[in-house]
Amino acid sequence: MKRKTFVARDDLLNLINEMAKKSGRSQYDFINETFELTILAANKGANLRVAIDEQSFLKAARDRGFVLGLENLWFETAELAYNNSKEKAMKAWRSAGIWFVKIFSLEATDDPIQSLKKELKAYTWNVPDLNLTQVGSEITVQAISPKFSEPYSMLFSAFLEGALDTLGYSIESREVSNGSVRLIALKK
Amino acid sequence: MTLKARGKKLVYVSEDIIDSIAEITKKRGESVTKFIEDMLRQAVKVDSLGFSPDDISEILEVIQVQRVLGGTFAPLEVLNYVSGPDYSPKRDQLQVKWYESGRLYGRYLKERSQSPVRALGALLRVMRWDLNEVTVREDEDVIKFRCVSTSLTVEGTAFLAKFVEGVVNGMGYKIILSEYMKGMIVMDLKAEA
Repeated sequence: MKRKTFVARDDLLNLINEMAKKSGRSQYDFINETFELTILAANKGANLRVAIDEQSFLKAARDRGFVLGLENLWFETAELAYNNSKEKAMKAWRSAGIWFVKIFSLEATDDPIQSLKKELKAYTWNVPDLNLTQVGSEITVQAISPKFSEPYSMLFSAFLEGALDTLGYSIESREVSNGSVRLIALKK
Repeated sequence: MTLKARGKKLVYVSEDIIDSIAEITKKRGESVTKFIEDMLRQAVKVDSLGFSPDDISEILEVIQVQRVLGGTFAPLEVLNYVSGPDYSPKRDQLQVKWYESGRLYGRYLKERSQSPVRALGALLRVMRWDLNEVTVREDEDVIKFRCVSTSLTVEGTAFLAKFVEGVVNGMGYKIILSEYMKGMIVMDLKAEA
């Protein structure tokens, strides 16, 4: 295979050399593999930085007890659960909300409400409009998704209620319908 | 990285890779030197985070699939609940849904990936964190698939097996052996003629 040369900073190359040695490869092989990976990413419309961020994000999702799947499967499964036993299904989703908050609460956080907002936005990427606002001791959560059926909205609301309750808020008002959830909670 | 003045070195890279980089930078309007330097910096970061280049490559594949097909997160606890004994009467209905969801992934992977079976391994490793091991091994014209989980229930394993069955059928493979028991799925696959 023909080779070409390029110029690079020697501090970076020294680090690359160390990494190559650690993995038992030559500097030439290591650099070629890295470049191939970057080209693969570029051809997929992404970049290595995004991939690194997403890898970290997915690792965090695993720690929070999530699995990835197609949303239509989750929606249909949720509806089936709801129609089979509304009470038990609501209990399961609520319990998932409690678990969600307990997991991130284990990490030191100065502002648990901001953490909830951040975590919800990250892991409910299929909800196009999700807002959590806090004014004094009152929190309003609003989630709007045209894909939410009424049973799914009910279950998602149960998840949110479990999360808010664990953070010490009681639900004062609840509006749940096809495609929309709006909860107002007050500090207990 | 600090911005103090540093020395430079010449490094060899294969010609076709440098040509591909030149094409990308031309499209983006970036300089080759800047692109390469950024690439090396990212490689150092990948290593410092404890990821292997293979991890990153798998992530890129899977995120692409999820974005296109509409992937989303679901709490594992909820998933275990709907796989539980309360749902025995609905089991057939649920299994059909898992199978159909798998077929959709399979059809997409067949179109998009040069090695769809390898991509299935990556997909499961990234999507299903409750799996301890996913292996895909080629043995002449037979592909041996195995996944193991210490936390999956019998019912959860059955749903996952249906999902995998859907994926491999969607990719155009037939299943010549399929066995599953609590926490383990073993399948032998062959490409359909």
